[in-house]
Amino acid sequence: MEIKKTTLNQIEIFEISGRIDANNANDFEKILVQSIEEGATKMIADLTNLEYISSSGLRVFLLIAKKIGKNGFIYLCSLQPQVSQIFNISGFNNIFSIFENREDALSKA
Amino acid sequence: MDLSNVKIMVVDDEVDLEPLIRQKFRHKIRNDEYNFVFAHNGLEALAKLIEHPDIGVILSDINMPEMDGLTLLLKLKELKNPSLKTVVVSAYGDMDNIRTAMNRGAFDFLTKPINFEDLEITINKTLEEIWQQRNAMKEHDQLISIQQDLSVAREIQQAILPKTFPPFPNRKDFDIYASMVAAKEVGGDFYDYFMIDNDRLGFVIGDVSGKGVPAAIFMAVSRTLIRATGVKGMPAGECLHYVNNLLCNESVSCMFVTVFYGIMNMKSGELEYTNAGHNPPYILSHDGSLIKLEATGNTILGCFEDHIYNTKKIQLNPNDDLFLFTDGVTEAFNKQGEIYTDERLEKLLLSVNNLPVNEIVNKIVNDVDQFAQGVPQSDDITMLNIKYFG
Repeated sequence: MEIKKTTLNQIEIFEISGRIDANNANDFEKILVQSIEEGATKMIADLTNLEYISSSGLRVFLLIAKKIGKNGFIYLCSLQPQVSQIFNISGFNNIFSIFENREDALSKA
Repeated sequence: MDLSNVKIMVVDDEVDLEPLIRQKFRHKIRNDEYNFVFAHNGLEALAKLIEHPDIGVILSDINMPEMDGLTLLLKLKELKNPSLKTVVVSAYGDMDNIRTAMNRGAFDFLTKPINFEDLEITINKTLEEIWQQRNAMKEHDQLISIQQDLSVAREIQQAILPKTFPPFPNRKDFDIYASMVAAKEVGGDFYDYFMIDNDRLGFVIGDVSGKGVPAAIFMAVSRTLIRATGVKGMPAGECLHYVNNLLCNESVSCMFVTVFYGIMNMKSGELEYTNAGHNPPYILSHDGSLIKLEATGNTILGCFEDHIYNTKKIQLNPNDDLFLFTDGVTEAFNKQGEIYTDERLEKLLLSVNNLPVNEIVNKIVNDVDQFAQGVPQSDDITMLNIKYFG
């Protein structure tokens, strides 16, 4: 797993690549939670290069959404088919705002 | 670790040594880099060790009244404290005593008259060695505690999974077989089944997010709540609605569980179910076709209070199999980083209908194992197969 963070108009964009599973979900959580503790309320997770996410990774997204609450958002975009399928099976596609691409996500932000 | 916490004990009957050392190392003493304790013979040194348990380095003379340095070394050896290091100080050329001291476990030696530059190097080297050793011990302790954590999680998981097959040997109208191969860091998979009444079998398969003891406890709580609620015989969706609200109170830091809960009526062949974010099971039809059970439009248990779980129904035919699994099956990885996939599972399932329940499950267990080419599992691999004879 690799995470590249950029900021655009006070929106933090995380480009996540590789795999998120039980072995690195804690690191993933730390990085996102740290951003929130530093005051971030608007996040976009760009999953263009995310190959796989396990339930431990889904839990982190859920935790972040709860931490941000109504004061902001976490949008997801550019899900590969196999990642999209994991979101659909778990029902997370109905919980998160998921966009086709980064431009769409930014335009709704 | 702060090395100033490690005290240095100087053991020598020469009373002039203490002021000399205090003078030579006054800067280091003032800066708290060195913290000295003084004793004048071996016996007194042992007493000081009890008084100052933070002594790490001992600089000891050999010829002393009451108890000499060589005897002190023997006594220190009995303490079996590996992070206690003794440096002996001996007359120049006293090779016999130095050899004896080294054989009795001395860490190093110095010769008299003391060269203070050399003494400082020796003290620093000894402190460094103690630091490394204590660090290694700390890491070792952490490793042990992680291993204990894992074995507790594994025990919880193994204790709640039913493992006797066939589970209902008197029933000729259905058969059940299940398999759970745990990942090294237990993933939190579980399955369960129970008779609601004479006709209806309740069954569940689930996967808790996360690993270790917290996940194992959440799994045990989930399984217990589903079973206790399920045996009351309420519709599948209602059952998970009730369990979900209870689990929402238990869940810390958004831990959740995906669950498929079904009720099979052995008299009518009707299957009702609800799916809380779990991989959809398959019906291996008696005619060889494969049906993926439609989702009920629901999500995981444990996070969203008052989520309404829908119940769907489907009619089974005699000799149909219901095959349930967790994502450890379809998301197994091989050396090339490829995923096992739903497609590979479906292809295999199409070739196994009409086999007994245990053979169906074992064929898939073996195929996943072959596919993974020895790559360690990152998740538990769990399957449950129920054959309806009618």
